[in-house]
Amino acid sequence: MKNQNRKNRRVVECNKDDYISKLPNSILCNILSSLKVREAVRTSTLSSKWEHIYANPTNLILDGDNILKRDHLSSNVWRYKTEEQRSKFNTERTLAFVSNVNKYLSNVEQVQKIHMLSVCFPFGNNSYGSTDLDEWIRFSMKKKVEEIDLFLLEEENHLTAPDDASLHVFPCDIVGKKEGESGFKPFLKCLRLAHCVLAPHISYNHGFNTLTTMDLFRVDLKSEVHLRFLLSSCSNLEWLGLCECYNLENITIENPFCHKLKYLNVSLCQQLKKLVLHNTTLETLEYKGREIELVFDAPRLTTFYSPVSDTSACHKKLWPILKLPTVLPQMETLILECSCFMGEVMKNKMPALTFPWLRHLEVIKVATFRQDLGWVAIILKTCPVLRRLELHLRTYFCCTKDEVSESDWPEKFSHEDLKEVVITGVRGHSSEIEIAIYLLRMAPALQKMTIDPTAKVYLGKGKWGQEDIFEDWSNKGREKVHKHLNQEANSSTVELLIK
Amino acid sequence: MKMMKPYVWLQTSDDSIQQVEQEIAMFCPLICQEIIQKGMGSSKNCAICLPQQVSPAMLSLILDYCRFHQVPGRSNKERKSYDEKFVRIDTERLCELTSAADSLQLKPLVDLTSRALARIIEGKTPEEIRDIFHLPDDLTENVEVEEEHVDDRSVDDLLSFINGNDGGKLNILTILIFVFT
Repeated sequence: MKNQNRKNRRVVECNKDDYISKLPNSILCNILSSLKVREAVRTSTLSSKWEHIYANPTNLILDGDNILKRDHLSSNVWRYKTEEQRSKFNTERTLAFVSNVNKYLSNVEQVQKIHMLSVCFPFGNNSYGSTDLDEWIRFSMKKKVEEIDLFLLEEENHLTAPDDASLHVFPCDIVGKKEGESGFKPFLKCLRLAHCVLAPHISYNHGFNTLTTMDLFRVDLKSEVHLRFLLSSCSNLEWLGLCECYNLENITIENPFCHKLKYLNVSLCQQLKKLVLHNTTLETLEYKGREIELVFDAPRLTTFYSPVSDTSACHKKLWPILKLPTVLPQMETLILECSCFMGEVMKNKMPALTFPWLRHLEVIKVATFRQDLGWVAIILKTCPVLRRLELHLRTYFCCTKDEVSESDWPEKFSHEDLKEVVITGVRGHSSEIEIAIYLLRMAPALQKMTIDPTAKVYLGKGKWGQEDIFEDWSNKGREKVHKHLNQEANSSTVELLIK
Repeated sequence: MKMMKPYVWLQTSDDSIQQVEQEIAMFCPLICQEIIQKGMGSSKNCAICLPQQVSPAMLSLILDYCRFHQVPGRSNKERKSYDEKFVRIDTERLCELTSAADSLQLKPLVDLTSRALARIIEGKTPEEIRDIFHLPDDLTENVEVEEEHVDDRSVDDLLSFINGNDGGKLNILTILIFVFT
């Protein structure tokens, strides 16, 4: 029966054109690269033309979703009641994953070049499959891989991190060996690791030389000596991220190491006590975490991102802002993320500070009911040459019915340099309108003011996201803002843009 | 006097010649190279000869795409929704468009159409895919790729092996033997 069907169909097919198979192989590979591995492999059964297309992947994306059948997805672990059953399920899952990847790689062995290797699966130190993982890395190094991305935590549950001793040890000997000493010619430009150990030996660090980007998350760097070995070889590194890394008490980036580094991100490294930067190329630093000692000798470092919080530990010191005029007097751009009650803290602490070169200030400020924006005036006084001010507001509940008044205003003064103001996340609350009017009046050189109802959210690492506009904006907010601000802007030369 | 030439002459696969805005056409790296390196396209006599894959219909689609994306100040959301609608065409034209965009080296459009084609393939059985794209079923039977292949040893064997007498502690050596056998 089935054969009969097939035969009939074949006759019909000959009359129609097979458009897709006429596309060049490079495009067919491109199409398959956006499919899951399982689906891509299955296309080999389509026709003779498709038999080997899947064997030329540009990227190796090895994660549970891609490699495993639905029954083996990690979310199914909750079907099992006892610990024993769950552990059996996990073992089965790992077996299937390792075996499927090995089979897949043996099928794509002929591929000339792999652009990226991405592995997202929980592997630990010496656990089943960890030697296979090393072989997959060796395979991709052989295929001139440019990006390696290992995320060795459970995809859906980041909290079940095993203790440090069980972290997979990244095979520095495979990646780092010199070409000619049984190593590969390195093409690696980008290395992203999560949840493993990275501790290169002095003779195995050559392969890191081509890296331009290194992003480490929950990586155990073992000791300061190992970090030194690592950084000493990264002579082309431009972007370095160290997030929640272990065994990291001091970070020292000194000449002549990393002499191309432009961006550094240090976030929530719990053991960190000291950050020393003697570097002539670094431009941007993003720091998140508790108070540490900062020793900076980095003349080009002019951009700083940091969250400030009003929690008791930092309350009195306003860390790290209070330190900045001393350690980073040349700072030109500052991006601050403030928690709800920071406004009050800033009002009290800021008047004592001066940022003599600060030209661009962005403040991300969250509030529950209303934004108390009195601190904006204080912060402007600390930045005498500020040209651009951006306020990114996020107010969760908002009443637009309240009246705009001038009774509560901060003291008047004149800021001569301010040229541009952007306020995002505006919902139509009177405090937002009041501060906009205040800025229009106190900045005689102001050229442009933008009012945007879309809230901007800082995602970290220089990236921003957007939130949807609240409904009350189109109902009432927009009208209210227009009414008050147009009136004010008419009497000045400022270009007012209300989105 | 204005020095910029606002229009460029293009010849499509059917030998017809048309004038299009240079600013838009320059979006295609191939056309851009012809203009800058060879000085082509400035008049009807030296029209840029486009690759065989670019029919007048495809050229007009591609220029629409370029025209939309060339306008500054559009939000990512607007661009995304335009792209989504743009590739909602029948599969035959989608293939043709992919091929034309590829020949003009317009990578963003190639990626867009490739992803659209991938979405068509996604989640379908080989039979269904063959039907959609009119692929010949010319493979000999039994060349079915195994989807899931699990280690021959039963998991219970393995578990008892790993857990062993060691009270559940993993023994590196046994694991290594496992991997290499």
